[in-house]
Amino acid sequence: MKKLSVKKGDIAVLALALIAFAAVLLLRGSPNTVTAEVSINGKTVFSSDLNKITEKEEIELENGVIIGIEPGKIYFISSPCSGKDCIKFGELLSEGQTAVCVPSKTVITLKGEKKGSIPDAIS
Amino acid sequence: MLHIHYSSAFISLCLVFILFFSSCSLGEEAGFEKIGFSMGSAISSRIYAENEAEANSLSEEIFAAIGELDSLISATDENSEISALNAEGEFFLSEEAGEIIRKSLDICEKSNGRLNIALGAVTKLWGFSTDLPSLPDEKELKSALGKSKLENILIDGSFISLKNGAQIDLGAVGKGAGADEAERVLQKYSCSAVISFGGTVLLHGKKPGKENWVIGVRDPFGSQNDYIATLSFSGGQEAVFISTSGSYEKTFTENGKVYHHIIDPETGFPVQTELVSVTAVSNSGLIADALSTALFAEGLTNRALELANEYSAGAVFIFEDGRIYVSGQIKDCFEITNTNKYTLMSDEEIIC
Repeated sequence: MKKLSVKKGDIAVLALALIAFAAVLLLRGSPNTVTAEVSINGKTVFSSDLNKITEKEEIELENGVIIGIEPGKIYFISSPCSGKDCIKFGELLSEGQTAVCVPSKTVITLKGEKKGSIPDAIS
Repeated sequence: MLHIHYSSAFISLCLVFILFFSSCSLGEEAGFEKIGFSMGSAISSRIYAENEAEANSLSEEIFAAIGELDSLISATDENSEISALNAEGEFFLSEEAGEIIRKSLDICEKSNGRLNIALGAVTKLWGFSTDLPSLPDEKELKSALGKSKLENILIDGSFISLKNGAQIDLGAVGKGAGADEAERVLQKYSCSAVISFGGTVLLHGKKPGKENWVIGVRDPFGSQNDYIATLSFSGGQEAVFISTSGSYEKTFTENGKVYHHIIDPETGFPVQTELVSVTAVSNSGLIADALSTALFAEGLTNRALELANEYSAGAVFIFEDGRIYVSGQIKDCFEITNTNKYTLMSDEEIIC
């Protein structure tokens, strides 16, 4: 039986494959990364990995909207408008969820790699 | 003894392929998402395109098209054609606005007035399109109701006249019409997309991969991200529009009583019903939007089922006690996800 002979070229190919695989993993982020992004009129003003939040925080944005952020969740606390519909979105817990304050054009989105059982949209 | 020859290069190549395909499976095609604002709502678009720039450009084109339509038909925009019509009592509308009026009137007629686009004088008194809705004065409401007959709208092509102080309000069909505009834009491109705003959802094309589109039916008693059932669609050549009207949207409380925004054209007050929401599914955005309101106002009756059937539309009726009835061809696409609280009614159970 012929012995398996490993040549230098084979080691190089294998090393390249492993580096490429590691790069893919790094670029896509850890499967557990959940990023909360807050934007005003399409411009991102705040971004945070929810898994790295250790305690409850309240953040007041430049337009007077106040957002609450805790380990694993983010939500609207208040807005300057009288409707306060944004608060009805409740806590965002899963990737793909969105909450919006229409009068102030403030949007909170949760982004991540893990695909939960979230539908494509809710009617 | 069997001699097995190994090629170390072949083994390396196999490893590369295994690693490559496993890395591909880590990330599914997600589409590119963008949010815009129009018609008093946030518009969420997810476009499956070759790159983000292309998707963003298409999203912006969709937002602009919806915004342009809104500038024609919004009753709260003083520069819109509908505002001009309401102010002057007559107006020569653009083709787009005229077509929306004609299609809406057809549904008004077929729904026996349960949908009424001449209700503007009444809805203005309630103020649901403002930040501060309130209970109108009873005498003023009665007077406004008297003006709100469908026969007060006279049509001659795109020339519309309003008699007896009637006012047009297209709030019950506007977002559906906006979704139709989005579809018109998408038809120019070869991509799949899901567009949603204000309870109206457009599904264009097939979802990339082998999965169906899955649309959640909002939990009437939960937050805007909660859903109690799903509708599943394979998608394809014809767009699918889903629209929901519910008593949980746009409410206010006065003297301990909760008032919702779906006005009964006969009484001028919010519809009194055991329903909490109706979801309509159609191949037209305007029809889905209009039907969700008309069916909510009508309730679960034979007339409602005939109306949905007239437009080949499916409908989901959700009652406050958790019973759900599904009509039309969407029965097989529907699944309750919150079975603790909600149950499906059979055809035999419905009393019409």
